Amino acid sequence: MNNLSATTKVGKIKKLKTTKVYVIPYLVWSFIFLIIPVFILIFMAFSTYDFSTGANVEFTLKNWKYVFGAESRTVFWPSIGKSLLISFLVTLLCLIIGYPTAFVMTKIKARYRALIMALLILPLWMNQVLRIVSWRTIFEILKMNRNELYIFNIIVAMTSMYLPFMIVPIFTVLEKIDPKVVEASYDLGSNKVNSFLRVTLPLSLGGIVSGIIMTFLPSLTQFEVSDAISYNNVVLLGNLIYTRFKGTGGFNVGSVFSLFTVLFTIIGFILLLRVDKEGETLI
Amino acid sequence: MSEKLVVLENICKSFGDQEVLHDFNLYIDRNEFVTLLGPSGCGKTTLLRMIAGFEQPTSGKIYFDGQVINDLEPNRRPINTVFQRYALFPHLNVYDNVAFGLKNYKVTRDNIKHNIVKDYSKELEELKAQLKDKSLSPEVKEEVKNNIKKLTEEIKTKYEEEFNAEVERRLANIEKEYNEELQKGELDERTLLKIKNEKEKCAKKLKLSKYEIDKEVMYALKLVHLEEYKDRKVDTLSGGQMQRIAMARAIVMKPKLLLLDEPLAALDRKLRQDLQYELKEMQKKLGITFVFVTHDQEEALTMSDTIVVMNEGRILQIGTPEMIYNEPRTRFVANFIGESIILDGVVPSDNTVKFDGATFKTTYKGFSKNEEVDVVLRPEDLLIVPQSEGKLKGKIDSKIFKGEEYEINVITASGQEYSIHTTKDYELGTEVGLTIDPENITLMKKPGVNTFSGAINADGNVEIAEDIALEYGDEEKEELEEGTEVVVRINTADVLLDDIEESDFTGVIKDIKKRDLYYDVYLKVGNLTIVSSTTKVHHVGEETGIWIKKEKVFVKVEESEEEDE
Repeated sequence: MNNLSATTKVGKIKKLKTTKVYVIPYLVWSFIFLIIPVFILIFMAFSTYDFSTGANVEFTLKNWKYVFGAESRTVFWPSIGKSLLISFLVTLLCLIIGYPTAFVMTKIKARYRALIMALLILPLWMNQVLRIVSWRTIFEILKMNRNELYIFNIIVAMTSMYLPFMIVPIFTVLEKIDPKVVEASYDLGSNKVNSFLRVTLPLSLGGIVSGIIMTFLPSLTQFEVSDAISYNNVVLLGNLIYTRFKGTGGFNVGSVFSLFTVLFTIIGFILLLRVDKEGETLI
Repeated sequence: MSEKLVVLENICKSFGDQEVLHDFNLYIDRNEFVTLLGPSGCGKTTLLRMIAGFEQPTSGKIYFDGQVINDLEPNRRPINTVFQRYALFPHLNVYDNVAFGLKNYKVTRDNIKHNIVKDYSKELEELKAQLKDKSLSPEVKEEVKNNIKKLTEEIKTKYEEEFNAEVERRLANIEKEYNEELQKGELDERTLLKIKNEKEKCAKKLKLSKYEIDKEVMYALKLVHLEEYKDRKVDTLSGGQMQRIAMARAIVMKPKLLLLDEPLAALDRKLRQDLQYELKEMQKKLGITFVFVTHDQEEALTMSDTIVVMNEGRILQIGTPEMIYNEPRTRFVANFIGESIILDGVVPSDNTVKFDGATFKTTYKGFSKNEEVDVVLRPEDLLIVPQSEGKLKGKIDSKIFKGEEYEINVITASGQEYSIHTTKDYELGTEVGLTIDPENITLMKKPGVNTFSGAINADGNVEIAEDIALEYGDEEKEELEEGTEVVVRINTADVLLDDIEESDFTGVIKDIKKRDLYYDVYLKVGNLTIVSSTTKVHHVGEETGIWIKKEKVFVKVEESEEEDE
């Protein structure tokens, strides 16, 4: 008996070792292109190092003082405020449109479900910049390219871009809910509204949170949409970072901006882990 | 109050073009433990879901407590279900799962409203329809509008009345409980007053206070022996525990009828046996009607008061477990309930049957002379004896050791195999004899045939009793001489019951058995008993007309009896 369990244990370890090998290329890749860059960002944010001139390494809080200081007060904070507002509204719209869509998708025939899924996924296969440009054209044709409408236009374009990322995780979760559980709630005296509020909604919470994170975080750092649609008139956090890194010399302050997005991402991820421990809603 | 809690009348159900229930008729008495037994796909779960309200019958009526409930939503039915694989709420702990239904206080209010509106709905709809009529003069229209307004107000006052009456009833109850508690003196007066106030506050909204919910939940959990598990998450429970929680969640609602959809199917054998016993005890204790669905015949035999054996959307037999086991009515039932050997036999006279070349004594009377029957033997009833003493003689062909007993196969000279369960070991190839006690031989009428002996009368019709003559056969029938003795066969399904005026002759209903295909109605006609298989609901003692199409009366000249050697 002991012998047997010992051999299976060894077998298991061996097997794990061999399968683990397959993940190495990805680990190397993400180490080089994800982990190292984050450390470079931190390094850049706290130093005066300049890539174009090289050398001249001096650790300083100058970049942070600049970002929080009077000089950028009229740029940085309004941008971050606008970014947060737009992301919030985009996420809200996606949720309002997306949840009912996902809900209906679980109720209809497989054929129609596949059709809706195709309608959601197909645009994603087209280049993002092309889609943004076509939105701009649409607004031009509709004569909506006016200063006071820019934010509205950005929200519309971004909602259409991120809607699939809201619908898919919610659908995944809703589809997994055992219809018998909802029946059980009718059986115990709940009407349709009650059943939805007490059973379906709490059971789909994981999908809602990952949907929110998957729309909120990317829209927070969007810059192409605002660039293209507002003809550079609306400056968002993403635009700030973009302009800093576009040329040379602005890397240090840009790094500070970027670290804000890293911070938002980490907060989002922690939130997600709290509601969805197995990560099953991340598609 | 009628004894019948649920009546299913002419229920048909189709999914697309597939018909899963055919003209199904059944009633369930109060406090009965009824089991729907059948192989998967026989329609038993669909039937259960229709009683619960999750499916609507394609046609037919479902009565509950004397009222048609076809259109009543599941949440309004005083019926609860224990689902297959339990369907517990995964986001709630054990306590909240059990408390779920009790927190649906809004529904009480809804139900009061629903019941009142139901009484007025026809009137209201008629008035509203009148309004749509464009030819009405403005004055009449105004009057109709006023009537609608009056009716709506009437509904409102009635609702308020009933609402207040219910509140009063609850308040009185709370007062009573408070005084009782005060007498007991387990808690001090201040705490009791606090509890009472809280209860009263909730009662005014027809809501249950947390104290009342707590009491009910803990009672239900105690009933299933899981009080200590109240804070556990449901996914940390074992299958048996989940099953018990599903039970507690349903019975806490105090339903009049509890539906159980294969609740024990996912459990292991030992646990299943324990829970079978517990379920039966619980049913007795609570006095709730149980409708239990299973494909496990052993489960059905252990627990039920009544078993309904189903196949392909039809009832094959209804009866007590003993009846179903000892006197299966059809081959399917005999095969499905326990192991059995089914043979073709002939009844030469009362209390005898002939099969496989031997004649046996039986306890059966009333079969027609030489009627062909199905003979059902159970493996544990066949006895192995020395060959000289056995009526059947054969050779031991194979044997399997099964722990408690041997399963021995004996082949007789005719090639018929008999499977026998015995605790004694025999050598392969031994020549043995077999006997069966008369009470262990079950005879079944061949499905749905009335067989009579008769004779041709002067009019060329067949007389099956002194004053009952039937026309028979189609145009190509063979003309028979007067006085020829014949065997008459009529399928039970071809015996139609009709108005007395329209019929050939009449009979009195002696007995109705919920068995075989639909209902078997036993009619007394003079000295004869005629069986009619019908889907309609009849009553014992009723006199009814009997009508048989002449093409459906089959006549065969009786052969001269062959003497046994």
